[in-house]
Amino acid sequence: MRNYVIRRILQMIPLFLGVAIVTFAVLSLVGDPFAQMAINPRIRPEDIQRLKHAWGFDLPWYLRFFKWFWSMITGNWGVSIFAGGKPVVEIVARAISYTLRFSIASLIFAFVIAVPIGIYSALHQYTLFDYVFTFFAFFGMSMPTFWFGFILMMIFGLRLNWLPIGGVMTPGMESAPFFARMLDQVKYMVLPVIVLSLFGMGSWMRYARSSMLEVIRQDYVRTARAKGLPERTVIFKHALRNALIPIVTLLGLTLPGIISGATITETVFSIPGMGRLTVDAMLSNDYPVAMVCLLLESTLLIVGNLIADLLYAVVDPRIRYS
Amino acid sequence: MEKSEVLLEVKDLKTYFYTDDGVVKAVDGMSYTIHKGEVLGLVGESGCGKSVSAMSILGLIDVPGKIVGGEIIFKGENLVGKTPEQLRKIRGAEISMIFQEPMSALNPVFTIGDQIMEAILIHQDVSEEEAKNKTIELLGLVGIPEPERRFNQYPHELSGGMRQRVMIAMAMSCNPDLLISDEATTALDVTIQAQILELMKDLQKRTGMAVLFITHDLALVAEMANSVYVAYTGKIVESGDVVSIFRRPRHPYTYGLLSSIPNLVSEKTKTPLPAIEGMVPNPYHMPLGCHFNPRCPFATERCRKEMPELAEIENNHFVRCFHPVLVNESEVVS
Amino acid sequence: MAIDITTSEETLTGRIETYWSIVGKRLRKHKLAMLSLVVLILVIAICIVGPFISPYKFSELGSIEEVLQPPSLRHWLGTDELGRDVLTRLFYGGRVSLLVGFSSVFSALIVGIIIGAYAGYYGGVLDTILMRFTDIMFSIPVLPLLIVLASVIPGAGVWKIVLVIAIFGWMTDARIVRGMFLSLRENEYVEAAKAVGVSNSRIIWRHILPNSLAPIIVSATLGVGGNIIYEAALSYLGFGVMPPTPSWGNMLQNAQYAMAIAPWLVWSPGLAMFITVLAFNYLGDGLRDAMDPRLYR
Repeated sequence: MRNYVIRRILQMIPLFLGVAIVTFAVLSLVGDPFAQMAINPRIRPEDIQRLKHAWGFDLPWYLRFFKWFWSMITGNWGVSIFAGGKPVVEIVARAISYTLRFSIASLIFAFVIAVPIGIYSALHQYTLFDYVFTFFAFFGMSMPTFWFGFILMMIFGLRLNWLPIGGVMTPGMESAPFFARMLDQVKYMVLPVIVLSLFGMGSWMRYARSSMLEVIRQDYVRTARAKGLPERTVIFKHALRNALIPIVTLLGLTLPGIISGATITETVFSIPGMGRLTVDAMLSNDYPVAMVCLLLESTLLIVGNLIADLLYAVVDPRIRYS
Repeated sequence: MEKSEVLLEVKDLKTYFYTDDGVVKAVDGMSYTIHKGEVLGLVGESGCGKSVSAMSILGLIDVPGKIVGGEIIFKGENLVGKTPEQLRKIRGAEISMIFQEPMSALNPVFTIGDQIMEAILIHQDVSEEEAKNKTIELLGLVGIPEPERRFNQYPHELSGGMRQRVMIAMAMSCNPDLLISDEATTALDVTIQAQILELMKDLQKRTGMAVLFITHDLALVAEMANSVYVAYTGKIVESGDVVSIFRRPRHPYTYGLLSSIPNLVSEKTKTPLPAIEGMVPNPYHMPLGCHFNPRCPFATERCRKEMPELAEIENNHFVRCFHPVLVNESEVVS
Repeated sequence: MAIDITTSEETLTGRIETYWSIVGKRLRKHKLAMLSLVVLILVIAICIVGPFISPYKFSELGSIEEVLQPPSLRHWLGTDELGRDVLTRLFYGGRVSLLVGFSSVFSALIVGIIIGAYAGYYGGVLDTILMRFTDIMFSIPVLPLLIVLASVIPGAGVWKIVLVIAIFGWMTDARIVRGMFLSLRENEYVEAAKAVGVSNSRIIWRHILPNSLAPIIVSATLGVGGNIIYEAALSYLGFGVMPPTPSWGNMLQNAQYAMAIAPWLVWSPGLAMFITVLAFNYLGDGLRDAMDPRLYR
């Protein structure tokens, strides 16, 4: 097991380097991010020169890459060009804190509801229950996220006026008592969390269902029955344990999304999370912020892959020893 | 061999599968009897209903399959119509089964010790400690070296032959009266196959259990069985003790099967019958009359219209054929 | 000595049918997939024919009285903030969305098949290089980079969006194809073809590829639906198909701000998109079931 972990971690390094190069290359396509600052008469040319030097724009591209890469991995992320020159760390941390509350809530919501339903569906294939939830799963997977957001806003926000249609809290609530403040923020979470969960719920449900269906026709399930085990032992011990293997792997792969956020949903509900921050930074040519966001997100994807592999090894003894 | 007490009697069993494309009569009026301590060979090509009849005995027929007729009398009680719970208590305890694919028949996420112990704990009133000791003993019994160490290993760490030994240990764990072996050696290499057969024979002799030995390979039956039943399209077409079936096969199908075993027929006779031509009929469109008639070199008009009954042609030798083959015994004897 | 028993599908069932005719038969039994196919054909037909029947042009601005009119006999689905007929724009938008969906899947498929086929067939160093590259592409946050590419690649046409989506969409196909090739290249017919001196490229394209089509077709069918949503999401964020060319996505772009006074602008493009994507998903699912080799028993 330990060798396996070490090998997988070592394999990450070239992948990480590759991702960094591609990210860097794509952002370099945009050209010199500081060029357009020269138009602004309020910015002194010395400041632009200083920024260019700090980001290595006075160097050849390969040296610029190493300079940038070094400052990234040493945590020397610099300050935003806009936003009053706030440190990038602070900006990113704040965005992550918003993203986390929505993504974790929706992941738990989707996972806890969808996986048991999917498994139940598989065990009761071609019953009314199965048909209803299969349709629901397809519904979830076919629904364009932002459109679903609009509909919820129109119904629960505009028509019924039950819930706020965007933002993260009512202005002025920052100084309210703890519970009132929490309640206020939860109200802002309801619609985005439903929207964020919908697709996940559909795909988790399908995934759990097909995984269980696959497992219950395996020979070892027949063996378990031939042994005379009670049906619930056959299902909940022998089948479920195997069906969870791919589900756990998929769980690992969704982890990066928890932090990198969902740009679309954040846009629809005006949530200042990571997804929106990344896109905004790229649009406004806020080079330091954009680079950190992109690299952070790809790192998370790679780490998520690693976690998925490790979880896989935990649940499947065949991987552990090879 | 003198006949002892009847252990299992399958009487006119009918197991049908109701699929979207029609009804498949996988087992259609099959009957056979196994006595205590007897090894019965059930032979036929894929799709002849031999495995389905075994699964019917264990009560493991799943939707869209259903036992629609017949009786399965085990120790004097009819298993057809018993509740799932009653059947479950018999499975693994009094009747156990080993399957064709040792690679996939064991659960990959549990240790082999776990999987054998589980069967013991379910059916016997013993402590975990006792079950564990019994398991290790069983592993030794089926010829697995270092049973204590193997106890904690996972199936993927074992070879195919070893896994089949584990399956056998699991099947033997509650001293069953009947062991069903469904093509248990088919997936193994020839040398391993011989070892596993030897083990099964040995265990059978030692414990005196009865064995329902299902295979497509007549040569194995000759080695293992006391009596032989040949199945074709869900029906028994010929049955008898092993000597009469091998010396005097009367059904053209059995004859065909035998003639494709080189050392029994082809090398002895100058003019071997060719292997059976054609293929097993489409289960949705069975031929009229005798189901074997499209492949039979001796088929007549009557064979194309009527299904022959199983008839006793000599003492304890039954054939379902209007025109049983007449064989000169000396030709076939090896 | 074992008696020779062939276990091929034909022998067991007596059916002498080709794989594809069996798949077709099984697909026809899948009611939802067939319904989806009918729906898709209808949607495509309506989008093609609709603009010819409509009395309006998709970019035709209405007079000031015709701005933001709710559905009526004159404008069945109402008008938008510039007084344009929503139904007519829905037809055109459908053409654009479907075009983007199909052609982006097709382009991604070509790249994916080439990379997957060569990696899986030749294995070794080539496989390692190609698959590490695929891993890297998989590990890059797609949306931000799509946005960069959309702003860097010149032009505003539909083809740019197709290109952008395809660049980040080929990896799954490549992995599927590679997997199929890895297992199929060990088959006897490949050995046989090699033994008689068939060239590698002919083996790849004529012998192995046709046998690995099933998962590719399923993935492509699901992909069309997925990419229609992708385009819509990009358009919603303002990086997709540029106005005045309508697509189902960019028709929704401004709808959010008008939803309080003109909810009909939200309903029609979204519903059209939802139904189309749902149909693609059901069809893909039906195809997957119909092509599942394990179900041949």
